[in-house]
Amino acid sequence: MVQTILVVVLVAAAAGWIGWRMWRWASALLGRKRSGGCPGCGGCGGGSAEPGKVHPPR
Amino acid sequence: MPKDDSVSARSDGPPRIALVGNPNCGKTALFNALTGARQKVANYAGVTVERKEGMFVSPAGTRVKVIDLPGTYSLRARSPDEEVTRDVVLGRRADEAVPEAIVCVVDATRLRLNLRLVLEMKKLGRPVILALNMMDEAESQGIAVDAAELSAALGIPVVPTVAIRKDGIQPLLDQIDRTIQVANSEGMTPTSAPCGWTEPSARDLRDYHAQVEAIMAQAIGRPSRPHLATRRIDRVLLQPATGLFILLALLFLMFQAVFSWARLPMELIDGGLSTVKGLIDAGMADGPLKSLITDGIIGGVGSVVIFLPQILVLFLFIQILEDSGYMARAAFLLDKMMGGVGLHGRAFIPLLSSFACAVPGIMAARTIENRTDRIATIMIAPLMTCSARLPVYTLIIAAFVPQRQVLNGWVGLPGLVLFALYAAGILSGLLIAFVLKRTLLSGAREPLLMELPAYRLPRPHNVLLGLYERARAFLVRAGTTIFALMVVIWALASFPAAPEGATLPAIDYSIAGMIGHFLEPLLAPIGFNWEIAVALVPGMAAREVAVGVLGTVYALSDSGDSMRNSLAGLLAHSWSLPTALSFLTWYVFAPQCIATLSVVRRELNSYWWPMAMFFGLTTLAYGASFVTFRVASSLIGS
Repeated sequence: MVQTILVVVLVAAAAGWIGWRMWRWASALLGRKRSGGCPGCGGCGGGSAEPGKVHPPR
Repeated sequence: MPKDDSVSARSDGPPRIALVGNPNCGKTALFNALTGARQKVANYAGVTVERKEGMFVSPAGTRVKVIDLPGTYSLRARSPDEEVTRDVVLGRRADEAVPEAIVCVVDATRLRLNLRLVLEMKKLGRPVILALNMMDEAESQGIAVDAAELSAALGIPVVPTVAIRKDGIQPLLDQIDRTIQVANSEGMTPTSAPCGWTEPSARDLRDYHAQVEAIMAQAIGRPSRPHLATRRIDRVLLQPATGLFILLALLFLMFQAVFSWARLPMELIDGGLSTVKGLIDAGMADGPLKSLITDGIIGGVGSVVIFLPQILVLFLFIQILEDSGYMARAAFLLDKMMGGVGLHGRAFIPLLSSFACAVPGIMAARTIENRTDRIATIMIAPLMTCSARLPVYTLIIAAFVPQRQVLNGWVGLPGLVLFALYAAGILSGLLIAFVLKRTLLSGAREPLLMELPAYRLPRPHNVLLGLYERARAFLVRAGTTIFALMVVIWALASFPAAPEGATLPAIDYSIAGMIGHFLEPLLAPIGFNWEIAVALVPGMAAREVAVGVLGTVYALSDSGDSMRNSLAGLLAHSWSLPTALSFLTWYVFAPQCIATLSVVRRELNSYWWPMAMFFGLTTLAYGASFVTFRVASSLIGS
């Protein structure tokens, strides 16, 4: 029973996460957001595909 | 284009400074030194193609916003990346206030070229600070730079720096403080400051040139120890025959290393995952959570994570080539070949960036001035094998290509097959560019003009940082998007349970099974079974997810001791060789990555091109897989 509850919670959270990502990708595809198209490849050091990203002071 | 610009944007919040300079003069290195960011730096022009924003707290305690901009030779922008710089500096962006001050970054070894932009910036009438960067290289070449004299000649403060070592950062921060204080005390805000920039005429350019010559004579000495090493190396590397041979040899070595160097760490990860799976098997009661962890997470995410060492070996090579200054040489070497299919020589760097990921590659195409050349480059960028396809290729190679040495024992067969797959992507990209440039995107070819940077020894810190960023990004993606997808796929592949008296494996009755069986007739002509059909759909999010899905789907119907071996072994047992070849062919062409399509839409500001890319490449992938499967089946039997 405990396993079943944990699985239901985990699957629901994962489905929510995927839904949110899909919404971001769809927004980027439709041109409604400037960011969101970033696949997180790390090739830019974390900024090339995210024009609005601000690096905090260190 | 208006001839004169007046600044109208209003700045609220902290003061803003912009980093402006010629390409490859160290702006991003300075940005990183000021803000603590880890933006990518490399030794070729065109690394930065978009504005980046960061913050730092000055010695006087002021929060300052700093904007890193793409390199440009003038505010007369010729390419989209230069337009970004022009628009930010002139305050033409509706969503962006104009910067209060400009830090002009120059390469101290190339002042004759760099100072023209400084003179142009001065005409804006805003405070300008000169960061005299790469002073260590100027000193090693015996170039005597009199910073005080240069400051007097230009009429602006000059601060010597070595950004990659963070030398001169404190004096620069002090100078920024002083400049902001002076601007504030004089009430010189961007809204009140006049903007004196007009597009320079031929006469203006001659004047700039004369002024630069006068300043050079006054403050800069000739190099007493010019570096001859770069010229000597270029005599070999830029020679068409030897240069191309060395380039091919380097690429070949890279693909061999991807297999041979990564083997041991991959085996360690594999062993670690098997141990964890064994512990869970032994210590946890049977149930849905146990199945989710072992079949969904370890079977799915684990089968993707295992490829991290291969990806890092690939990027180790790319990082070293980028830092050494070889990339620009490779662009020159391949300019003739690129020109043969109608591509611009500058297309080389965006295409090479696409081997990491098509998204930064497509953005790097901003350095190409001509729009039709840029579109052609963007359209073929997804055909360059991105790192997300590496797990797919190496899994199938591990399953179907024997670990054998060929060519008198010099070359490993798996590495050779991987090289052939990369070559297939490159050749098909060039073929498509050839067709596009002679039909939809025809136009005259423009010559390649590109600065060749001096060769530098790659800095271990930069190389390691680059690898760390890659590893972090890969693991974050594995731990978020891929993890979530695997959990959902596991649920779809596990429920509903098989009915009583079922004769087929339980997964056949699940939602994933139903989706797979529904799509199977569409994909059967190219040799794909229903399990592959299930793997292709979530591959839209990230291509390597296909490996994870296959891992989960097959884990639910089988259990093995070793993750990779069991999946590769199961594929070898379940798939025919024509199916495997068809699957590889699909992945050479398949455009199923939504992030790539999104960035194409954004960069070209059009829905037509991403749609053409998706349908064109999908048709090509299906057609090529069909031919591969049919030909292979008729030759070797299915």
